[in-house]
Amino acid sequence: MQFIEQEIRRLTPEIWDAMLHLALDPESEVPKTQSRVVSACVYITGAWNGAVALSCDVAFASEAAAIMFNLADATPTTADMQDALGELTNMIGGNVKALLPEPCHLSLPSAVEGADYSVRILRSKVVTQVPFRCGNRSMSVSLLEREERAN
Amino acid sequence: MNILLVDDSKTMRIIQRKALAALGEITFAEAADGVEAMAVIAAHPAGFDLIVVDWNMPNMNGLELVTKIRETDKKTLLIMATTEAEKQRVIDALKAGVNNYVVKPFTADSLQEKVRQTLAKAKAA
Amino acid sequence: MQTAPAKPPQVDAKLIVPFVNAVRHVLRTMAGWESNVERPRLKQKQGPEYDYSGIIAFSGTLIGTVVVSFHRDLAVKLVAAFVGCELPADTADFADAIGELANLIVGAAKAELGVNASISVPTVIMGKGHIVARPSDIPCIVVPCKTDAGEFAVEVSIKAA
Repeated sequence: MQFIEQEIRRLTPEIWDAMLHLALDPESEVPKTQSRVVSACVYITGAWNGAVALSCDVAFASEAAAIMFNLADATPTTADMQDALGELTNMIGGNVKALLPEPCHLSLPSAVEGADYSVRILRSKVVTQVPFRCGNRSMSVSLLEREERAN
Repeated sequence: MNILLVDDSKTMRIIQRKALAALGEITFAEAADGVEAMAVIAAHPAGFDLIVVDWNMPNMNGLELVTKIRETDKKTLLIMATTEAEKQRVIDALKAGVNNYVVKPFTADSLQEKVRQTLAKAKAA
Repeated sequence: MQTAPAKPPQVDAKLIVPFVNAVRHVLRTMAGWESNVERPRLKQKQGPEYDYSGIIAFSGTLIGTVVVSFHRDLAVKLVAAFVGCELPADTADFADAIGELANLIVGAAKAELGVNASISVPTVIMGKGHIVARPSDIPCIVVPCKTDAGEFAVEVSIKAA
């Protein structure tokens, strides 16, 4: 799993650069935000079971949506932001899936927007949470694995 | 009576415990998957009268657990809890050695009845 | 030049009916609640906001998501009826109960669908006034459910892969 964490650190900035032409830098700790947050998640099932989740504040999600959908002066809607983050999470998840034992299936993304909510993927543990920064905006990518018990 | 409840959902274990507590004086143990269940069984030398086993669990699923238990224990009563989708697999479970099965979702009454049926049949045998 | 109005997305009713049946069956069996499931409708716009949602993703032969969403008051009452005791809201056990309800509904529907698709473990969102989005290229069908304790929604966005 450490290998997958390294891959997330490597490929997330590549995806941001390719899709949004934004530079992502590593951040030291997971951001805490007072504003509304958008989260997106894809699930991986099969030989490996877990999820890849992405979370950022609305301002960052709005910027990503405006760039991705070429919205120019129009204000992205909640749906635009959720779609944009869903798409970005899908790309990260697809790359993670390629590193996992076969066969695995990748779900379509789901996304949530709200002011103060928690996301619990049941019977799973957070394997790693990788924070990033883009200027004064921050986000994090998490990898969760279905809980295994030690022998 | 000693009953072991094996399900990766804590909610389902609470529901099963509440339903079966109505059957009388029962001591419960719980496990969240097959591996944990084997550890709980090993730690209870007196054994269990009944084990209720969920089908879909991480690490060691219900069928694998039943097969493992039956390698050395032909006596303990085993009831498999499964969703409708897996009803076909009940045949595999019966072949592996479960005594009965209950289909999720179930009412408290239906779970109690399945346990009574299983105990009655074992007594008659 | 006039352009023809966009056709509404095609919805396969065979994918939705099992969810209608599953909601009634699970609530009656596990909570002892009767529910009135109203006519499913195509979701046209975002929202409404909910306080608790259980999300389950399909992958394999069916893809998409199913979301079961509640407002707080109903969630508290339904969880108490389901589990057999009151659970403090916003706790891990409460989240597990919400997730398990979603899991049972989707599991029962999947059984009636008779498909060989994988479903994810439940994801539970807990927080006042959140909105869950769906895959944008799959029509979202809202299955409105009414109980004596209030209303909730099952939103189904799935299609054959």
